[in-house]
Amino acid sequence: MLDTSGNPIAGVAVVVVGTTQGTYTDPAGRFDLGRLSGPFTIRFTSVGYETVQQVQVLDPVSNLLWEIRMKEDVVGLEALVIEARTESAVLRRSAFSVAGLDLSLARAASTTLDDLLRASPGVVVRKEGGLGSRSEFALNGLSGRQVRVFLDGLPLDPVGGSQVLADLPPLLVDRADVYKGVVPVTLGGDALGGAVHLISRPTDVPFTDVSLSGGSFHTAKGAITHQSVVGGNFLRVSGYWNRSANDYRIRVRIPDPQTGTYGPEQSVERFHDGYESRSIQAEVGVRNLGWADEIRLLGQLHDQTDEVQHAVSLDRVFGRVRNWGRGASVGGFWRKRVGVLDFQVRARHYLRESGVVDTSAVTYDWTGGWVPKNNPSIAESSWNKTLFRYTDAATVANAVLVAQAVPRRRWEAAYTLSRLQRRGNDPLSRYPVAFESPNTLLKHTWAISHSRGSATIFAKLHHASGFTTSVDFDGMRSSQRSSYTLPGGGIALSHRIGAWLWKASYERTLRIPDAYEQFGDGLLLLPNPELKPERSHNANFGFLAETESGNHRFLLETQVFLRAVTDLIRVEAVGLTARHLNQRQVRSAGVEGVIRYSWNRRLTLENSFTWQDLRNTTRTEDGRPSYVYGDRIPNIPFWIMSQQATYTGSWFDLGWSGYFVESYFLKWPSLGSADGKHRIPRQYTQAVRLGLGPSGSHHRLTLECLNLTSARAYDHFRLQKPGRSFHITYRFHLR
Amino acid sequence: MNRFLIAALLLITTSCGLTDSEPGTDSGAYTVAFTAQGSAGEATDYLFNTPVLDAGTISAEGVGIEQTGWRYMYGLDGTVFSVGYYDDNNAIAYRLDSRGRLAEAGRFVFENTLDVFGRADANTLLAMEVPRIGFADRVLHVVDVNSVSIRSKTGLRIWESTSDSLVAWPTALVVRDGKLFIPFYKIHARGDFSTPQTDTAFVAVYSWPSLQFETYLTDTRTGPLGVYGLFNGLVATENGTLYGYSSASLANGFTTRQKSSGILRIPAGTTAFDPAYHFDVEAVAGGKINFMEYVGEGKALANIVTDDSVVWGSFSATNEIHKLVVLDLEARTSTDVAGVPAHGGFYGKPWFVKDGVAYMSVTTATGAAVYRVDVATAIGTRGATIAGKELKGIYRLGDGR
Repeated sequence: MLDTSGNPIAGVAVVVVGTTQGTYTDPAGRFDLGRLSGPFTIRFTSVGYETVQQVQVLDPVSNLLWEIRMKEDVVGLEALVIEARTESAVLRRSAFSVAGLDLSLARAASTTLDDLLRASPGVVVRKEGGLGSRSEFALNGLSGRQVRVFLDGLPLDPVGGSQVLADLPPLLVDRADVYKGVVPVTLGGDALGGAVHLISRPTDVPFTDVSLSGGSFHTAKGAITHQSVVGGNFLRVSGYWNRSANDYRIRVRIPDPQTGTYGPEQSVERFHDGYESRSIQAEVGVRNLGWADEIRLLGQLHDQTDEVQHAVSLDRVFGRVRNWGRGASVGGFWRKRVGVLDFQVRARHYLRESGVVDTSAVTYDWTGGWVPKNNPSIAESSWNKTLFRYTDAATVANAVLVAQAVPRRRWEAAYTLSRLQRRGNDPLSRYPVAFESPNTLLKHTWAISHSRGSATIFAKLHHASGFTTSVDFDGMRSSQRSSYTLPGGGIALSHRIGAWLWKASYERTLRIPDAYEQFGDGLLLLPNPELKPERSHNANFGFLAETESGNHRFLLETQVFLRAVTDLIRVEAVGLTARHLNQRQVRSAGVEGVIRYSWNRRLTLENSFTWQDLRNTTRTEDGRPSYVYGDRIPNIPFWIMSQQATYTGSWFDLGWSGYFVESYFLKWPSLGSADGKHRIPRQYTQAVRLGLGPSGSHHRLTLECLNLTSARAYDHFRLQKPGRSFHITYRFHLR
Repeated sequence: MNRFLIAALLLITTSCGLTDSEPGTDSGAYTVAFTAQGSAGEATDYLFNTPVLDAGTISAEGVGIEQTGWRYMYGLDGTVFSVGYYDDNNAIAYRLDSRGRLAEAGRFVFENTLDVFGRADANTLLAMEVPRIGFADRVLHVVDVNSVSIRSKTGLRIWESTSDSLVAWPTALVVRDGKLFIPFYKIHARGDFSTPQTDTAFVAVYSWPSLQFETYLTDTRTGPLGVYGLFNGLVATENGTLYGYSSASLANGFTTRQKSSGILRIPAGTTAFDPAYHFDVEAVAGGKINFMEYVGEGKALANIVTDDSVVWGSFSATNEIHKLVVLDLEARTSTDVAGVPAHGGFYGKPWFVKDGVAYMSVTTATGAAVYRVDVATAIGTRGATIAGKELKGIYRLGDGR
């Protein structure tokens, strides 16, 4: 498979029409359709090229060779810009500031999605420890609830978005798109700082994909996905299993149990930090019914358990307390095209139960030894023994109508609904527990967008309503309600000048406070029904330049960004109680970019960087002048670099990556003496990877070494991440 | 190499005779526990020396030893203890080094939290872990100040009633004449700090240092003595008389108000409330006592709650619901201090008292400043501006060395 200038094209889909046979071309442009005989129509499709269809008589005995040339299809690329399914490279050319993450190599390795995402400019992922540890995803300085995660068009925030990024194996994902600050209307919801959109693998070709991995710290992972396609209908069964003891070594000082004074620093193995998560999912799709072009139904089961090794302080070691969660969900999809209209409806309902098991009155130390607590009625990590659990019932639904009468002119309308109800109980507690009366939050987003050529303008309207009942210490019942309606909107433009594609985008965004922030937990976290949404002006401006000369290709992409956030929600403590307030203002500005060189599509060198400057723009604190106005927001990385080198040979691939984060302060930079301040130290970790297996083969073996130099790396103050580890992954891939 | 550089710099500064005025203002007569105000509701403590409290600005900009997590501060003669609560289960001791600079003297780790502190003698700190839920031992930590290490831990029940589901929350640890006095109030065992009974004052008396329970002192003329998070439920005078104040106000975290706020005393040499002494402070000062510090010669300074409408309202630094008064404990009179504005509250035991003068951090809705209060004249004067939230403590560690 060659392009018009005779260069091989990799990744071209080769489908034998009318059969389930198909493959992709390898980096040399070759492909193998296996043992077929007779005349067949063969279709070659690749984004960026015109589709080619040829009739060939296939003969399994003789090795038939023929040459096909595909023409580049530039117009097609422009029209594809806002299609939901486009390749990463095409997405890059959209007027939105969006990075598409290519997962093709990651599927054969043991890497997690959040580790892959952190190599993208503008993205910061911070982990507290090993596999399954709490992971925080940040985009251009905004993080946590301010960044939303979507799966196949539906928001995941009712079920904990960022945890999915650490759990979901790349094998089950086609692509992850990162929308920086400006989010298209088809992803409805209140994404203050942007969104990550995970897209499941396409349903048009059959395949079987299995990956098994084992490694240091008693880590084992498995993922499987199998898809059958019959006459356009499909059945897909997927599942994964992740498990790690996370028994890596860290440096601690062990206090004497009697005097409380510290011994010397020593290396200990973590012993109660295990994590296990499992999921299984089945999805069936039927095409070409009268009332629907396509319908899909899915069902999923999931559970996880997470041992807790220590409290915020490493001086408080746990050996028994653990968290657990389990859930089930069902979902559906319907699509119908009528003339120029394309109508799609998606819905998913989740039932989830999460809890903590803390029933032992024991105190552990870092050697793994323990003694009973002097008070047998209290628990290991809490004042009272607890089996606290909460149940979430969440529904998310989304309807999208796309109208495209003429090329390059398009209307999109979308409605998104999200409803979350949380209820808590504790079978051990004789007293009231958090969320004993359910909290309910209902959110609607209506959105409309118009694209004309490379310009898109859009408007969104958000409405939220919440309700809770709480009981205070006198047994008085009180109800709280809240309701908002707020508009938002934005614009995205791009303009090509020669090899330079200039892009600018802006959105006025908001985030609706969640039920926990509005209504508290029914105990010491008090409700504040007057809480307003967080709001932000998000702007991006940048360019993309690509040049090609012979076998050499260069790509340079840079953008500056601004996020001016007001009414940020924070907690205000009042005695033993606390409540959420709209008080903070933050301005995040920065520059990010990526430079990439590739040779002959085999060697790729890439360096991406992010420099972000988050400043406190809150002038007063509760009416008093702020003495940290204009200071850099503490405990957030500001200078991050990520490097990658890969070489793809005919029977192996070799990869190296480096990740750098400059040291940053735990507290306000302006306060405290230089030698009396706490810092999160500079980190530089490297990883190497070797993949083995002839191209086109169904088998691939990948060897990885993470944290090659065993650097003492921290994303959070005092929480040491794992040292050097080795992983081996076997992938079986049939299509 | 850095060490050599620092050593060289030190040599230069010493030889130049600049020991008393190093750059960075980490020198001076006073040590302060300064609480900065962040923007996310967080407030970080910095400990540093400051030469003067009467003028200028006290700021942690570029100075101070940074602390982690929320902390109690407790001064004991020449040592200040910075004690982590919840996030950090350790206590760090700071003292002045031979050159007058503030330096860490050691630290110790404890199991859960420490909630109330007291001084047993010049080398003995008392600190008590108080479970906030259920029926459980209150663990008295006896801490050796010199070596900054725990000498012993003893579980004391203090008081409880399983039938009423009530447990004791101690509000002071006072050692006098071979006895440990622990005033307390009753909270619900479910852990929400509700206080259904506030009609009686209680003090539990233990032998010291053997910690054998001896007796309860009770008195129904006023409510329970002391307040959550403040260490002065019982204070001693120069001659050993113990004065205890009752608050039982909503603002101080009580959920019932069954008695007028007042003061009782335990005369020197006795272990009983003085039946002839009851100072109904609420009647003369017009509000309930939030905090009291003994100054000398029978006089005390007290914060009086002027608006008792919000539960826990006293613990917000900016909630201007307190006025400052001088209490004459013998004459049972109250005099409003002139020159100090209505102000918010605090935790611990933050006021510095010496020779009839008190220095205190006063936070209002518009700012924070040090005030110097002359107790004899009941006049307060505004001193240094605090470029932060408050001072959790003002100490003269040099005096205690």
